[in-house]
Amino acid sequence: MQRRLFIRLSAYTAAALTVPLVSGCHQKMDIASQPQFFSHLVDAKTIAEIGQAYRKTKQEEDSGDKLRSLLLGDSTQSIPPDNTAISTMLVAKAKNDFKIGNIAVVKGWVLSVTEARQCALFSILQS
Amino acid sequence: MCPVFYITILNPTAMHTDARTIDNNTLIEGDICIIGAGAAGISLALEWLDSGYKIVLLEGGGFEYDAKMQDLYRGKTTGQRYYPLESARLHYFGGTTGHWAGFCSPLDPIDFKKRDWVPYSGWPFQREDLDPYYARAQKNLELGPYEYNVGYYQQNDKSLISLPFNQDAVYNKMWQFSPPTRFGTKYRDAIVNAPNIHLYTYANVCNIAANDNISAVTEVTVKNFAGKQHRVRAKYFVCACCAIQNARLLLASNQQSPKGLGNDNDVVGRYFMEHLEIKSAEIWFDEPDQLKLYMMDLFHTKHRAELGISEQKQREYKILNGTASFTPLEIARKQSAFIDLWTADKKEREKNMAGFGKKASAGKRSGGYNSFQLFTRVEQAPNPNSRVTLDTEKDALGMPRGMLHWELTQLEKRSLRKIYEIIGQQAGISEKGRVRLLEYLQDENDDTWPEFTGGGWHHMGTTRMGEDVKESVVNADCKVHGIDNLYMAGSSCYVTAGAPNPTLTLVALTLRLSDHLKARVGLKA
Repeated sequence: MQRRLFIRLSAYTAAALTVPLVSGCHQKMDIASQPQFFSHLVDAKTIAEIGQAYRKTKQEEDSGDKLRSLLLGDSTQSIPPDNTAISTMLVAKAKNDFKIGNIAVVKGWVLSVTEARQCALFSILQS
Repeated sequence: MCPVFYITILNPTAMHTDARTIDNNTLIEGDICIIGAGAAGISLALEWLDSGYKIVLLEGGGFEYDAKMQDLYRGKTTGQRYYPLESARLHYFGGTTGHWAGFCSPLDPIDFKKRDWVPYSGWPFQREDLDPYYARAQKNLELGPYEYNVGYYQQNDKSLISLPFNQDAVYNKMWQFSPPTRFGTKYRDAIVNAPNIHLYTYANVCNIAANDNISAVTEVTVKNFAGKQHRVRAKYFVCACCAIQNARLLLASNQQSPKGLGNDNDVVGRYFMEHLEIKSAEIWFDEPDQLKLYMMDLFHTKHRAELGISEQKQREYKILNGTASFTPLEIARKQSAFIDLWTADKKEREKNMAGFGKKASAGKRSGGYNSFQLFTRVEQAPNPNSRVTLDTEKDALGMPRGMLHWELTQLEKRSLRKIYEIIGQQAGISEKGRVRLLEYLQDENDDTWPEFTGGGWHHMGTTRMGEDVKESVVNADCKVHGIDNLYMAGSSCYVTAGAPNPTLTLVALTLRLSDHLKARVGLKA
């Protein structure tokens, strides 16, 4: 129940937040705030709390632009074709994080750093 | 019906004596005197059936549970919260196998090795040296073949599906389950009917006496509640009373050696180890899973896997050896910690544990679960400050009570945290799920333990094995340093604890000791 609620909420949040962020490429980046696999396990509130906790410990990453840049890297230069491609790229990035041990333990959750950043971005967008 | 009378009618050579019934100051003599009739003592005695040697097996209690006998095990505990000592071991024929759950698995090869990040680690022999004895011990405990490779079980049952983790990081550590063998009932007839094994019940050893230069034991003194005191003489003496009582007996035998027998270097009683058994994390899946390979129905399941951490990862992160087991989260959340359930009062304890079992079996779903609690069993690093000493208070037979100071180190906490980060990493790589550490593990600077921290009722290490007399009590043959005919049997000899429950290993170690004794007397093992 909570998971579905999150999926609805996050889709709504992403759509709503694209309006003020419509300047250029940001429009297609808000999918970056959704850790795809993890969002099937926990609700939006948990994602936001994890995001806030991550931002507290990584203050140098505590801005939407910085997080987008870290998440999307070079893809901000050449805009990916669509949300699906971004999502696929981030899933692969998260998996690779796990493989290379690029892990963040946030509020007890053992996450890839990519997922932790996605949570952080989500918490910024939601606030 | 009186069991002794019954046996005597059937077998006039039956060799059981209630030490309360014989004349005071009786002198009992044999070739080998085994002190304690639990898993170790009985296993050792069974090895000498029909050997032509007279084995004297001394048991402090009788054949049934007796609160008065249990009280002899009562003692204060300090340091980390622990179970009441009088309830953690059973003081009757069969010993603690009278209430064990039957968990068996061998120690891992790494457990025997010297690890530079684990102080005082390193056994005087390796796992392969113990393998033949493990294979023999399987029979004593009514287990299957000596086979702990998950593939063996999966070949026979395709529904035992492994989690898709890299086995070089997190592997399936297999357990076999004994029925569980209650040594007191399973082996009673074999012991009592053996013409060369003389069992004395209600024969509590309260003192071990040595010769003048304390190079050999001459006799032990036994007492009981009938006010009788007897002496037992033998060529060899083996203490098999459990880790706390083995140490207590050596320490209390201080008439000739003020610090206790075999304790010139103040090692006896030190390095007490337990397995930390504690809920530690949760794992969440996006699809329900039964985890059949990892589930257990107590007293029915014959084998299951737990998640083990590979030797490679233990070395990489310099952590202790530990395993994780699974319980569906919705069931686990209803269960109290063992440390809160395991009270000194037997009736209350049994009621609490029955309630625990009911909660475990209630509400099981065939479709599987999305979330599981991860429960750890992790070794404790050998720690000289974690120790058994003597109290000034004496028990009803006049023997100083044992006291336990259970002390953990930072390494246990760091290891626990890292174990779940490693499992969490594998869950992430495999896209199987995500792991969440419980709150007490979340702050890496916090070395405290929560109230629900408990042990596995596993007592180990108080007469540890080694070649250095300053850091050990017995040598590789379990013989007390400097005393030619005194041996320790059981988990008190462990150098490190490993992750598995200790019974299988202590029986294997006892069989090895038996072979050594046979070699000493010129018998073929």
